[in-house]
Amino acid sequence: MKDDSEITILTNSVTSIAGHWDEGDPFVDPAEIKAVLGWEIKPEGLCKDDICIPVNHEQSINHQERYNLRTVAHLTGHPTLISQELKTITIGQPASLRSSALRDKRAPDFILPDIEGVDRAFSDWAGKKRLLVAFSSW
Amino acid sequence: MPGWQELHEELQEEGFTVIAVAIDENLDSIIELANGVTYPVLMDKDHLLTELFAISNVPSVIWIDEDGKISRPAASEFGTDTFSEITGISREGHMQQVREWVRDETLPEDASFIVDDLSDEEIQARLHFRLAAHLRRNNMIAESEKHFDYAIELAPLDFTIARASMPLRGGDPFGEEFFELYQKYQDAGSPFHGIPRKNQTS
Repeated sequence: MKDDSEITILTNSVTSIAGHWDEGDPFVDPAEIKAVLGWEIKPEGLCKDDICIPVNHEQSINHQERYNLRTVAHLTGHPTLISQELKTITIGQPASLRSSALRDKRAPDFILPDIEGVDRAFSDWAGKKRLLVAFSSW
Repeated sequence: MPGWQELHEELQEEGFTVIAVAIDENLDSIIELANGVTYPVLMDKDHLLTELFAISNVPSVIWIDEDGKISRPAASEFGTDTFSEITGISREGHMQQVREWVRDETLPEDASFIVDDLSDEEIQARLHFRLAAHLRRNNMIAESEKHFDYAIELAPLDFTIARASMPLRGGDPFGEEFFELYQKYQDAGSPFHGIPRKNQTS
Protein backbone atom coordinates (compact mmCIF):
# COMPACT_ATOMS: atom_id res chain seq x y z
CA MET A 1 0.00 0.00 0.00
CA LYS A 2 1.34 3.39 -0.83
CA ASP A 3 1.25 6.22 1.70
CA ASP A 4 -0.73 4.23 4.23
CA SER A 5 -1.88 6.63 6.91
CA GLU A 6 -4.27 7.23 9.75
CA ILE A 7 -7.39 9.07 8.67
CA THR A 8 -9.54 10.86 11.22
CA ILE A 9 -13.27 10.58 10.61
CA LEU A 10 -15.59 13.16 12.14
CA THR A 11 -19.20 12.15 12.15
CA ASN A 12 -21.05 12.71 15.39
CA SER A 13 -18.10 10.95 16.96
CA VAL A 14 -14.38 10.92 16.23
CA THR A 15 -12.75 7.75 14.92
CA SER A 16 -9.43 6.94 13.39
CA ILE A 17 -9.07 4.45 10.54
CA ALA A 18 -6.33 3.24 8.22
CA GLY A 19 -6.35 4.28 4.59
CA HIS A 20 -4.36 5.85 1.81
CA TRP A 21 -4.75 8.87 -0.44
CA ASP A 22 -4.79 8.97 -4.19
CA GLU A 23 -5.09 12.31 -5.97
CA GLY A 24 -6.77 13.88 -2.96
CA ASP A 25 -9.26 11.06 -2.47
CA PRO A 26 -9.25 8.81 0.61
CA PHE A 27 -9.31 5.02 0.09
CA VAL A 28 -10.32 2.76 2.98
CA ASP A 29 -11.17 -0.90 3.62
CA PRO A 30 -14.75 -2.08 3.00
CA ALA A 31 -15.10 -2.90 6.72
CA GLU A 32 -14.40 0.76 7.54
CA ILE A 33 -17.02 1.92 5.03
CA LYS A 34 -19.54 -0.20 6.90
CA ALA A 35 -18.38 1.07 10.31
CA VAL A 36 -18.41 4.73 9.25
CA LEU A 37 -21.44 4.96 6.94
CA GLY A 38 -23.37 1.77 7.71
CA TRP A 39 -23.30 0.72 4.03
CA GLU A 40 -21.91 -2.65 3.04
CA ILE A 41 -20.15 -3.37 -0.25
CA LYS A 42 -21.78 -6.37 -1.93
CA PRO A 43 -21.77 -7.74 -5.49
CA GLU A 44 -25.08 -5.93 -6.13
CA GLY A 45 -23.71 -2.58 -4.96
CA LEU A 46 -23.76 -0.56 -1.75
CA CYS A 47 -26.32 -2.09 0.61
CA LYS A 48 -27.97 -1.08 3.86
CA ASP A 49 -31.02 -2.87 5.29
CA ASP A 50 -33.12 -3.80 2.22
CA ILE A 51 -31.75 -1.08 -0.02
CA CYS A 52 -28.94 -1.51 -2.52
CA ILE A 53 -27.47 1.27 -4.62
CA PRO A 54 -25.95 -0.13 -7.81
CA VAL A 55 -22.37 0.94 -8.37
CA ASN A 56 -20.98 1.52 -11.81
CA HIS A 57 -17.61 -0.15 -11.63
CA GLU A 58 -16.36 2.11 -14.38
CA GLN A 59 -16.27 4.75 -11.66
CA SER A 60 -12.94 4.46 -9.90
CA ILE A 61 -14.56 3.43 -6.66
CA ASN A 62 -11.97 0.86 -5.66
CA HIS A 63 -8.22 0.90 -5.67
CA GLN A 64 -5.93 -1.75 -4.18
CA GLU A 65 -8.92 -3.52 -2.50
CA ARG A 66 -9.93 -0.27 -0.91
CA TYR A 67 -12.85 2.00 -1.66
CA ASN A 68 -13.01 5.70 -2.36
CA LEU A 69 -14.76 7.13 0.69
CA ARG A 70 -15.55 10.36 -1.17
CA THR A 71 -17.42 8.47 -3.90
CA VAL A 72 -19.19 6.13 -1.47
CA ALA A 73 -20.30 9.03 0.74
CA HIS A 74 -21.58 10.87 -2.33
CA LEU A 75 -23.49 7.82 -3.63
CA THR A 76 -25.11 7.30 -0.22
CA GLY A 77 -26.15 10.95 0.10
CA HIS A 78 -23.70 12.09 2.78
CA PRO A 79 -22.10 15.53 2.39
CA THR A 80 -18.36 15.52 3.08
CA LEU A 81 -15.52 17.88 3.78
CA ILE A 82 -12.27 16.12 2.91
CA SER A 83 -8.84 17.45 3.81
CA GLN A 84 -5.79 15.46 2.81
CA GLU A 85 -3.62 18.08 4.47
CA LEU A 86 -5.30 17.47 7.85
CA LYS A 87 -5.91 13.77 7.05
CA THR A 88 -9.44 14.39 8.24
CA ILE A 89 -12.81 13.63 6.71
CA THR A 90 -15.89 15.32 8.09
CA ILE A 91 -19.10 13.52 7.15
CA GLY A 92 -22.57 14.99 7.47
CA GLN A 93 -26.02 13.46 7.73
CA PRO A 94 -27.73 12.27 4.55
CA ALA A 95 -30.01 14.89 3.03
CA SER A 96 -32.82 12.31 2.87
CA LEU A 97 -33.05 12.23 6.69
CA ARG A 98 -33.57 15.97 6.83
CA SER A 99 -36.01 16.12 3.94
CA SER A 100 -38.02 13.37 5.59
CA ALA A 101 -38.17 15.55 8.69
CA LEU A 102 -39.05 18.74 6.82
CA ARG A 103 -41.39 17.44 4.12
CA ASP A 104 -42.76 14.14 5.43
CA LYS A 105 -42.65 15.30 9.07
CA ARG A 106 -40.89 12.13 10.20
CA ALA A 107 -38.54 12.93 13.08
CA PRO A 108 -35.19 11.18 12.55
CA ASP A 109 -33.93 9.30 15.58
CA PHE A 110 -30.61 10.38 17.09
CA ILE A 111 -28.31 9.39 19.94
CA LEU A 112 -26.61 12.00 22.13
CA PRO A 113 -25.08 11.91 25.61
CA ASP A 114 -27.01 13.40 28.52
CA ILE A 115 -25.27 15.75 30.95
CA GLU A 116 -24.14 12.74 32.98
CA GLY A 117 -22.38 11.44 29.85
CA VAL A 118 -24.82 8.55 29.24
CA ASP A 119 -25.84 8.00 25.60
CA ARG A 120 -29.58 8.39 25.10
CA ALA A 121 -31.66 7.78 21.99
CA PHE A 122 -34.50 10.17 21.24
CA SER A 123 -36.63 7.07 20.61
CA ASP A 124 -36.17 6.08 24.30
CA TRP A 125 -39.09 8.45 24.87
CA ALA A 126 -41.26 7.15 22.02
CA GLY A 127 -44.86 6.75 23.14
CA LYS A 128 -44.84 10.23 24.67
CA LYS A 129 -45.51 13.60 23.13
CA ARG A 130 -42.09 15.25 23.12
CA LEU A 131 -41.26 18.93 23.17
CA LEU A 132 -37.77 19.03 21.65
CA VAL A 133 -36.09 22.22 22.81
CA ALA A 134 -32.80 23.16 21.13
CA PHE A 135 -31.04 25.66 23.40
CA SER A 136 -27.52 26.81 24.28
CA SER A 137 -25.42 28.86 26.69
CA TRP A 138 -24.28 31.21 23.89
CA MET B 1 -35.16 26.18 31.61
CA PRO B 2 -37.38 26.85 34.68
CA GLY B 3 -40.28 27.72 32.37
CA TRP B 4 -40.01 24.42 30.51
CA GLN B 5 -39.69 22.70 33.91
CA GLU B 6 -43.10 24.09 34.96
CA LEU B 7 -44.69 22.89 31.72
CA HIS B 8 -43.00 19.50 32.05
CA GLU B 9 -44.27 19.05 35.62
CA GLU B 10 -47.75 20.13 34.64
CA LEU B 11 -48.07 17.67 31.75
CA GLN B 12 -45.73 14.78 32.55
CA GLU B 13 -48.52 12.56 33.88
CA GLU B 14 -50.37 13.03 30.58
CA GLY B 15 -47.86 11.29 28.30
CA PHE B 16 -45.65 14.32 27.73
CA THR B 17 -42.01 15.16 28.25
CA VAL B 18 -39.69 18.03 27.47
CA ILE B 19 -36.36 16.93 25.97
CA ALA B 20 -33.76 19.68 25.85
CA VAL B 21 -30.74 19.46 23.56
CA ALA B 22 -27.84 21.85 24.09
CA ILE B 23 -26.29 22.95 20.78
CA ASP B 24 -23.18 23.60 22.74
CA GLU B 25 -19.97 22.06 24.02
CA ASN B 26 -19.76 23.95 27.29
CA LEU B 27 -20.89 21.22 29.67
CA ASP B 28 -20.31 23.28 32.83
CA SER B 29 -22.58 26.09 31.63
CA ILE B 30 -25.26 23.63 30.57
CA ILE B 31 -25.16 21.82 33.92
CA GLU B 32 -25.62 25.20 35.57
CA LEU B 33 -28.59 26.04 33.31
CA ALA B 34 -30.08 22.59 33.97
CA ASN B 35 -30.08 23.11 37.73
CA GLY B 36 -33.46 21.98 39.10
CA VAL B 37 -34.50 20.43 35.78
CA THR B 38 -36.01 16.92 35.86
CA TYR B 39 -36.51 16.40 32.11
CA PRO B 40 -33.67 14.98 30.00
CA VAL B 41 -30.95 17.39 28.89
CA LEU B 42 -28.68 16.13 26.11
CA MET B 43 -25.38 17.54 24.82
CA ASP B 44 -24.95 18.12 21.08
CA LYS B 45 -21.44 19.56 20.82
CA ASP B 46 -21.20 18.74 17.09
CA HIS B 47 -24.57 20.33 16.22
CA LEU B 48 -26.06 17.11 14.85
CA LEU B 49 -29.58 18.43 15.39
CA THR B 50 -28.94 21.51 13.27
CA GLU B 51 -28.31 19.17 10.33
CA LEU B 52 -31.12 16.69 11.02
CA PHE B 53 -33.82 19.33 11.53
CA ALA B 54 -32.33 22.34 9.66
CA ILE B 55 -32.05 24.38 12.85
CA SER B 56 -30.46 27.83 12.45
CA ASN B 57 -30.96 29.47 15.82
CA VAL B 58 -31.82 28.76 19.44
CA PRO B 59 -34.21 28.39 20.99
CA SER B 60 -35.90 26.26 18.35
CA VAL B 61 -38.79 24.20 19.65
CA ILE B 62 -40.21 21.20 17.75
CA TRP B 63 -43.27 19.17 18.72
CA ILE B 64 -42.96 15.43 18.09
CA ASP B 65 -45.78 13.01 18.81
CA GLU B 66 -45.89 9.48 20.27
CA ASP B 67 -45.10 7.89 16.89
CA GLY B 68 -42.24 10.18 15.91
CA LYS B 69 -44.28 12.41 13.65
CA ILE B 70 -43.46 16.11 13.77
CA SER B 71 -46.68 17.74 14.91
CA ARG B 72 -45.32 21.29 14.68
CA PRO B 73 -41.96 22.16 13.13
CA ALA B 74 -39.26 24.43 14.54
CA ALA B 75 -40.28 27.81 15.92
CA SER B 76 -38.56 30.21 18.31
CA GLU B 77 -40.39 29.70 21.56
CA PHE B 78 -39.23 30.68 25.00
CA GLY B 79 -39.54 29.10 28.42
CA THR B 80 -39.38 32.51 30.05
CA ASP B 81 -40.41 36.04 29.18
CA THR B 82 -36.90 37.41 29.83
CA PHE B 83 -36.38 38.31 26.16
CA SER B 84 -39.99 39.00 25.17
CA GLU B 85 -39.43 42.74 24.83
CA ILE B 86 -36.66 42.15 22.29
CA THR B 87 -38.20 39.19 20.47
CA GLY B 88 -41.88 40.10 20.71
CA ILE B 89 -42.55 36.49 21.69
CA SER B 90 -44.26 35.73 24.99
CA ARG B 91 -44.20 32.27 26.46
CA GLU B 92 -47.79 31.84 27.51
CA GLY B 93 -49.42 31.65 24.07
CA HIS B 94 -47.16 28.78 23.07
CA MET B 95 -47.50 26.98 26.39
CA GLN B 96 -51.28 27.06 26.07
CA GLN B 97 -50.98 25.59 22.56
CA VAL B 98 -48.81 22.77 23.96
CA ARG B 99 -51.45 21.99 26.60
CA GLU B 100 -54.14 21.80 23.91
CA TRP B 101 -51.94 19.51 21.80
CA VAL B 102 -51.23 17.18 24.72
CA ARG B 103 -54.79 17.11 26.10
CA ASP B 104 -57.03 17.51 23.04
CA GLU B 105 -54.79 16.68 20.06
CA THR B 106 -55.49 20.11 18.63
CA LEU B 107 -52.82 21.85 16.61
CA PRO B 108 -52.35 25.54 15.86
CA GLU B 109 -52.77 26.66 12.25
CA ASP B 110 -49.05 27.21 11.74
CA ALA B 111 -48.28 23.56 12.61
CA SER B 112 -48.49 22.51 8.96
CA PHE B 113 -45.75 24.96 7.96
CA ILE B 114 -42.95 23.44 5.87
CA VAL B 115 -39.51 24.62 6.98
CA ASP B 116 -37.03 25.45 4.21
CA ASP B 117 -34.27 22.90 3.69
CA LEU B 118 -30.66 23.88 4.26
CA SER B 119 -28.81 25.25 1.25
CA ASP B 120 -25.62 23.54 0.05
CA GLU B 121 -23.69 26.43 1.63
CA GLU B 122 -25.42 25.91 4.98
CA ILE B 123 -24.66 22.18 4.84
CA GLN B 124 -20.97 22.80 4.08
CA ALA B 125 -20.86 25.49 6.78
CA ARG B 126 -21.94 22.87 9.32
CA LEU B 127 -19.10 20.56 8.25
CA HIS B 128 -16.54 23.39 8.49
CA PHE B 129 -17.88 24.30 11.92
CA ARG B 130 -17.62 20.70 13.12
CA LEU B 131 -14.07 20.42 11.78
CA ALA B 132 -13.09 23.77 13.34
CA ALA B 133 -14.48 22.76 16.75
CA HIS B 134 -12.63 19.44 16.54
CA LEU B 135 -9.34 21.16 15.60
CA ARG B 136 -9.74 23.62 18.43
CA ARG B 137 -10.28 20.79 20.93
CA ASN B 138 -6.96 19.43 19.67
CA ASN B 139 -5.23 22.81 20.07
CA MET B 140 -4.76 23.31 16.33
CA ILE B 141 -5.82 26.91 16.70
CA ALA B 142 -4.65 28.40 13.39
CA GLU B 143 -6.32 25.64 11.35
CA SER B 144 -9.40 25.87 13.52
CA GLU B 145 -9.72 29.62 12.94
CA LYS B 146 -9.51 29.08 9.18
CA HIS B 147 -12.43 26.65 9.22
CA PHE B 148 -14.54 28.84 11.51
CA ASP B 149 -13.98 31.61 8.96
CA TYR B 150 -15.06 29.35 6.08
CA ALA B 151 -18.16 28.31 8.03
CA ILE B 152 -19.20 31.90 8.71
CA GLU B 153 -18.49 32.93 5.14
CA LEU B 154 -20.86 30.19 3.93
CA ALA B 155 -23.62 30.85 6.49
CA PRO B 156 -23.07 34.36 7.90
CA LEU B 157 -26.53 34.75 9.44
CA ASP B 158 -26.88 31.28 10.92
CA PHE B 159 -26.65 31.72 14.68
CA THR B 160 -25.69 28.07 15.27
CA ILE B 161 -22.55 28.89 13.27
CA ALA B 162 -21.78 32.60 13.64
CA ARG B 163 -22.85 33.08 17.24
CA ALA B 164 -22.00 29.59 18.50
CA SER B 165 -18.42 30.07 17.29
CA MET B 166 -17.93 33.25 19.37
CA PRO B 167 -17.21 31.63 22.76
CA LEU B 168 -15.14 28.91 21.05
CA ARG B 169 -12.86 31.61 19.60
CA GLY B 170 -12.54 33.62 22.78
CA GLY B 171 -15.27 36.10 21.85
CA ASP B 172 -18.35 37.19 23.76
CA PRO B 173 -21.69 35.86 22.43
CA PHE B 174 -23.49 38.57 24.42
CA GLY B 175 -21.16 41.44 23.44
CA GLU B 176 -20.61 43.84 20.56
CA GLU B 177 -19.99 41.00 18.09
CA PHE B 178 -23.42 39.61 18.79
CA PHE B 179 -25.19 42.94 18.39
CA GLU B 180 -23.48 43.45 15.04
CA LEU B 181 -24.62 40.01 13.92
CA TYR B 182 -28.15 40.64 15.14
CA GLN B 183 -28.28 43.93 13.22
CA LYS B 184 -27.10 42.24 10.01
CA TYR B 185 -29.65 39.49 10.56
CA GLN B 186 -32.50 41.97 10.98
CA ASP B 187 -31.34 44.01 7.98
CA ALA B 188 -31.51 40.81 5.92
CA GLY B 189 -35.14 40.24 6.97
CA SER B 190 -34.46 37.82 9.86
CA PRO B 191 -33.90 34.63 7.80
CA PHE B 192 -34.76 31.65 10.01
CA HIS B 193 -35.35 27.95 9.39
CA GLY B 194 -38.67 27.68 11.15
CA ILE B 195 -42.17 29.09 11.46
CA PRO B 196 -41.93 32.83 10.71
CA ARG B 197 -43.20 35.35 13.22
CA LYS B 198 -46.06 37.58 12.13
CA ASN B 199 -45.26 40.28 14.65
CA GLN B 200 -41.49 40.67 14.53
CA THR B 201 -40.45 43.72 16.48
CA SER B 202 -38.86 46.22 14.18
